[in-house]
Amino acid sequence: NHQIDSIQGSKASNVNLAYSALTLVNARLTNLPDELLIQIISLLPTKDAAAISVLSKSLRHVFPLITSLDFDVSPVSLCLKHPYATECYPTLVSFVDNVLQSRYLTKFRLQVSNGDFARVFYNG
Amino acid sequence: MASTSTSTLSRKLILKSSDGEKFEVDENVAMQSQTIKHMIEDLDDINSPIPVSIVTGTILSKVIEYCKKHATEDSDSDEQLKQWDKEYANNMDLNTLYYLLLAANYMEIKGLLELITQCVADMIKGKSPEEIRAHFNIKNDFTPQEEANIRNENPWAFEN
Repeated sequence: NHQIDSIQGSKASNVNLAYSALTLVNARLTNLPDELLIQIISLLPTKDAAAISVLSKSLRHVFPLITSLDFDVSPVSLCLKHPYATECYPTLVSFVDNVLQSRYLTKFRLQVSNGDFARVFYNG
Repeated sequence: MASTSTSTLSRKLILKSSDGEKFEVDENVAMQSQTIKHMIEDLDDINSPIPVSIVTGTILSKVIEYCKKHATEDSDSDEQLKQWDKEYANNMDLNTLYYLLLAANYMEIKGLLELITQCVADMIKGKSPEEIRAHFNIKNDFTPQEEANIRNENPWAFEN
């Protein structure tokens, strides 16, 4: 990991200094202001954005604040597998409802496996 | 007339980093930053250094490199500029990207902000939570039970 090497290589003869530098490096993504984290994870497919919520406690609260919804075929194929998907996946339904009601939504995309049915919607 | 407009275009500004390093840049380069643009409007003496208070010299020099590239309307096509952006971002380590992101946000440089956020998003895309933690050195501070509970809250995100 070369960013850590470069810190140790510079002036970290002192173990404490090296340790605090490493702690700083470790905390990078989690230390970003929410505003920037939301911008970053709103660029992700929604499934990847959801993975952010299990990374650490400080990242958990950011996921529901995303400003875009971008679903691949998997939620749709899950609905096909489970005819009562809204009952099997109530959290997906309420999550999508919440994001759709947010006035900050900038993008909504749902990919459907059947190519000729694929649509991309943008609002705002 | 021509000489007047040339001298206006090439007006120099001095930007001063948080650690006191000074950079002389063309006004049109500095104006890529909305924050500096607003500061200049309120400035009485254009010759005094403009403090960029949260950005270190190392980072500011990289920000200026970006602004210079995007301020000059030379022969670069959009495609060439995109390629330049890509190489610029790829040459940064995570640590630098973090500070560049904060700088672009503070200095309100829309293009740079979009470039870096997209670059970080691309690092996350398609990775499992374990892989993302490893890439960004994020400490998992959940107990296994807590983590399982969160996965259960959004099962659709963790099933294939």
